[in-house]
Amino acid sequence: MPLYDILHDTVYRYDSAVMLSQQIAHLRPRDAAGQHCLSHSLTIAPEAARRVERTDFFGNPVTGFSLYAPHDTLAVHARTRVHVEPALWPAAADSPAWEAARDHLRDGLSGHAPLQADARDAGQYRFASPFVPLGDESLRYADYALQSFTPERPMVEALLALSARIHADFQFDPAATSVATPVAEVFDRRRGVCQDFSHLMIACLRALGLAARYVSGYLLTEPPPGQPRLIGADASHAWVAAWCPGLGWVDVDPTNDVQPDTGHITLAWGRDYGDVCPLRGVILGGGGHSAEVAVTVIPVDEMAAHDDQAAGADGHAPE
Amino acid sequence: MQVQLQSPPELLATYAARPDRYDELCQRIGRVVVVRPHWRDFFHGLAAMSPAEMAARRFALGRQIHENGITYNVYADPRGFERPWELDLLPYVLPAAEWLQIEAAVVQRATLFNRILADLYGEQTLLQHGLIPPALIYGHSGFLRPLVGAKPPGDLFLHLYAVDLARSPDGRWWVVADRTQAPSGAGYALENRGVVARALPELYRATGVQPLVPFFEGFRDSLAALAPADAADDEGEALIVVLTPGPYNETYFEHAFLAREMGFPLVEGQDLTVRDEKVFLRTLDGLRRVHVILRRVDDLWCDPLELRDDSALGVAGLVAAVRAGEVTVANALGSGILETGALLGYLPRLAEHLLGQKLKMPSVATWWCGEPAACEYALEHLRELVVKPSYPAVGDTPVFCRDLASGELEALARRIEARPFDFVAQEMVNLSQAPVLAPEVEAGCGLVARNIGLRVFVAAAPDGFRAMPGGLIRFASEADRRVVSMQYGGGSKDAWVLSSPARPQPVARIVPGQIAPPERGPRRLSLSSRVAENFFWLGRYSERADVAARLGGETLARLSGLGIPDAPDAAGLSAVDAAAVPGAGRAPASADLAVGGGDPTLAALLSLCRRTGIVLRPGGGEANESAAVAATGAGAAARAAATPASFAEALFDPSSGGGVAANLRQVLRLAALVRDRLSPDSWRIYNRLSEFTSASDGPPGVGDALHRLDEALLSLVTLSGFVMESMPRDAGWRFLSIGRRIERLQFLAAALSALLLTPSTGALQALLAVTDAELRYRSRHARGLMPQPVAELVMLDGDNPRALRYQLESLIEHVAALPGGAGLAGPLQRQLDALMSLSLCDCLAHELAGTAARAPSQRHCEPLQAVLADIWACGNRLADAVSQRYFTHLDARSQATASL
Repeated sequence: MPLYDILHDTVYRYDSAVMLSQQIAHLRPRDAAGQHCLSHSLTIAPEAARRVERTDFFGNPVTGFSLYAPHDTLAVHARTRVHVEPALWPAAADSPAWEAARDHLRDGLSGHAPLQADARDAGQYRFASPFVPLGDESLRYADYALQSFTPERPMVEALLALSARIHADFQFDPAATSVATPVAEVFDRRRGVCQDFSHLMIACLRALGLAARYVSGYLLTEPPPGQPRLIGADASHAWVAAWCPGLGWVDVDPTNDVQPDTGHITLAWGRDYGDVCPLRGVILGGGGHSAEVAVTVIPVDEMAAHDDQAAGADGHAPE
Repeated sequence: MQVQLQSPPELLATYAARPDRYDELCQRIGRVVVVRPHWRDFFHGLAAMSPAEMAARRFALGRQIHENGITYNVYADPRGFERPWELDLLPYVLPAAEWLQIEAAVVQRATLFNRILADLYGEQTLLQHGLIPPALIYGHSGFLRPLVGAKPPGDLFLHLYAVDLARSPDGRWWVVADRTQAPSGAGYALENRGVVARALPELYRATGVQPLVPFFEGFRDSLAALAPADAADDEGEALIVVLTPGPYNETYFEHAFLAREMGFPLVEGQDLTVRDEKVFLRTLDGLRRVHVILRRVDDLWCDPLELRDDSALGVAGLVAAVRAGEVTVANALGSGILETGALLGYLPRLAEHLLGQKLKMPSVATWWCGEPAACEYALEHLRELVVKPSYPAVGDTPVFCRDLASGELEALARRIEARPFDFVAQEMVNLSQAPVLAPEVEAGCGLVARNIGLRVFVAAAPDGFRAMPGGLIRFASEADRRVVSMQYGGGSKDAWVLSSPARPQPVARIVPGQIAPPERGPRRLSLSSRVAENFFWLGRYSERADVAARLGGETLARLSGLGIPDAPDAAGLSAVDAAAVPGAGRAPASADLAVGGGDPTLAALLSLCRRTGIVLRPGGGEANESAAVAATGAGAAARAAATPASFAEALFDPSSGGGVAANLRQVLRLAALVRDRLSPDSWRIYNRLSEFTSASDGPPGVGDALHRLDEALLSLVTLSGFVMESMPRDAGWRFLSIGRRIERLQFLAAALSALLLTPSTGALQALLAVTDAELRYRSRHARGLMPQPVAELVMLDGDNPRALRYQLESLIEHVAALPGGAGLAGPLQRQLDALMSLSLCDCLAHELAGTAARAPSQRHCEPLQAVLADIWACGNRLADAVSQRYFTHLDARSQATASL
């Protein structure tokens, strides 16, 4: 029954003063199957003039905040304690044939058959979205995916097979892509980061007529044996969930070719990165800017050790 | 009473009714062609008109379109960006009884669509019951998820709705397309009415036409009533604005026109800001609360924070303001989703379900391929159908399958099979045809038949939806053209709905197409910061263009050997001596002297040209300067000043730095941005300037170039006189003036610095020429040119609007009149004091004329040079201060940020 403390710190530094800043944060973890957020605090410096908590269309908690006074740095510190239970994924071979998922969605979404409540939710994730365009290029994604999604293959088995192929065929390379790199380019160049692989896998699944969503979250990383955990050495992570009738949403992490378990902490989900970006905003002024993001996932039994280390390093302990 | 026209009159000699189309004007009864009854009054009036008379009317109509500046922007139009609106002299006539049916049908449709939107952004029962296939909504990029659950006042989503109708050969009307987010055309229809009724006044009166104006008045009142409950601001009145994407939008004219007619400020996204979920208009006096936004920006572009983050057209935070119920956006954000053709097939059952009524007007037969049976049908009959995307995508146009080669048709079928949800197939409509005045004026003004479509408008009025009696007729550009679209070069017509006895025509207004002002009168609002900034830069660039034309002309003349030769002594100065004269820190470079062939006047002029940015360095230029201009400009700039021809070329190269053409381009761009505040006459002069901004074929000859400079200068002078004469003395005028004065102040400082101390009569003569002071000088000083009187005239004369002192005094007055501007006047006053206390005698107490000519020593010139340099710098500081205080948020463009 792992318990984690998560530190997610973002600092923007601007070349010239920002006059007006409006931001939307997806930094409070939503409750999900086997996951419960015990505490969460969001500290904004300088202090926001306006702050509004709400839930977005996809059910994620959102904090909207605005700054109306000139500032040249913006720091957002999220402190979260979350409880994660081991995942209970269905046995791959027992899941229904993937075509059942496709047909169930197609019939419901085209008005051919009554739309079940579960498929209505899944239907949100069945179509092209801003980061996952599906024009004529979708045929290429479908061709790639069909090598794993062979006729009548159990859905989860096919899903894991596709994840394994993406993991094998694509190289992890943070220098290869940016937030703006289109999926088609990732597909051609065969390299990218977790966000790219997730978008690519989503494109493949949707090209087959399946529903797939983008999950934003964190990944627990283990420091090398004998070394202390480095604060801020982790990063935000992203993976994919696909929908299967009867089973609901099944998560898979193509970047690491694993099924998420207690080491994956879910923040939010949506159609793609654009729906759940941890911090997105519009500023007036500022000129150029740099963003520093530091993420640390700490199992709570390590917390005491971390507190000592942090106090020694920079003279103050996190809240 | 029925007049049967056995043989149609001459008007119809070229008019061919076709058996496969419905003809709006004529019907065939047996072997007899008859003008339809509702056209007869109008047609007989028309037939009584001589061809010459009709040509004159058409000419008057064209002139009025030009004078009203009615334009429609066609993005890839070789004729230029702003195309004059195409309007046929002949209206389209519709009988009252038929209109009643159309009206009932479109009002029903607006009601239905409003109910559908309320459901889609609310309970979504229509999706749950399968009345609308969820794929149509979930797969549509226009389904704005952040707006789900946002409830607008009165559950009104659709405030203005347009619907395109076509009439099939059997005479029935069909709906071809719906426009639900920001429909265009209503303003053009109103403008068309005004223009046509003025061109055919007696026919308009005699025919008995239902007026359009009450429709707009109802719409305006409805918007005012929709302000959120606490709308009463300090003036107790809701502020309604028209949000436009800006002058580059195809229908910008209409945005400005509607804003003006309805008495609402026209704003762009940058004018608005959101604070605490409330929307404000930025004005020079501060922020003013906005209650209702009539928007002409498409859904996805309205808020970079929650919708498309690359939109520069929207207002960050607008979606949150809508969700909070603090502002009403018309039409509601997200209403564009109903524009998909895929929905058409489901409307009959939706009408039954939501309204308990049969759909009064059918839509063109449409098959959404996401439905397997429909897809099968579409694929079988593909050849006869038109294929469109289900979800909007940029650049997608309808595919007329019968135009496709069989390979292409096959490829399209494969795409449909692969992505059936994405395609809609529609029946082709054989559009009806109506008479249009033949294009050849001299050929006797016959009528020709053109395919037409009718766009009808429905608006929310305080008592429910109301249709505009009439609409916008668009006709195809050629006889066989199937698409009627202004983007494809068609034309428009006014639509006259005959008045019915049942609905008496309201008291006729004196000017048709003019909306009565609201009872309280338009509210007074101070200028938006963006508009102020545009005026400021319009002033600056106008003056820069003026300087470029004057100084460029003078330099070109000198370079070509047309200047007044210097006295032999002066010309004999060595290059070293001349270079030692500091030109406000920038002495004429030896390169200039080299190019000038040792002529110090020419060297000084060339140096001044560089300082004012008219041309870059002679013979090459520094790397950073070359990099600052486009590749072609760099080439021209590199050659600039080397020869008269290349100098002239640089002046007229629109891509080169600060030449005449480049500055005029900026002038035109900025004038377009404030166009709704310029008088039509000023606008006509701006139009005239545009001919100087296009690149000419090959380098102009020197004579030709001088002539063109003269012409450009004439237009600029006319313009400044005109703008100054016709503009109200408001803040816009003040910023225009400040921009102009700052620019002239700096030019005069540079010109005096470069020319006054150049020891040659030619330089003094050039100084008088570029400051337009020759005549004044000669009228005062009969003796030759002498530095001191020249300096007094160009520097210290308080009555000369081109003297340095005048600029400072004028600027002091202008900035003092700005809100909170008193503090800006101090530095200007100090410069003025310094200027007036200069002892010119110390500097200039010698005479050039005669044999005693000697260069003034550097020591004596220092105070003068220092004052001029200070004045130049003061101009820069003032420009910065004005910009920071009044426009600062605009210098800082908004940008999107995101973190991982």
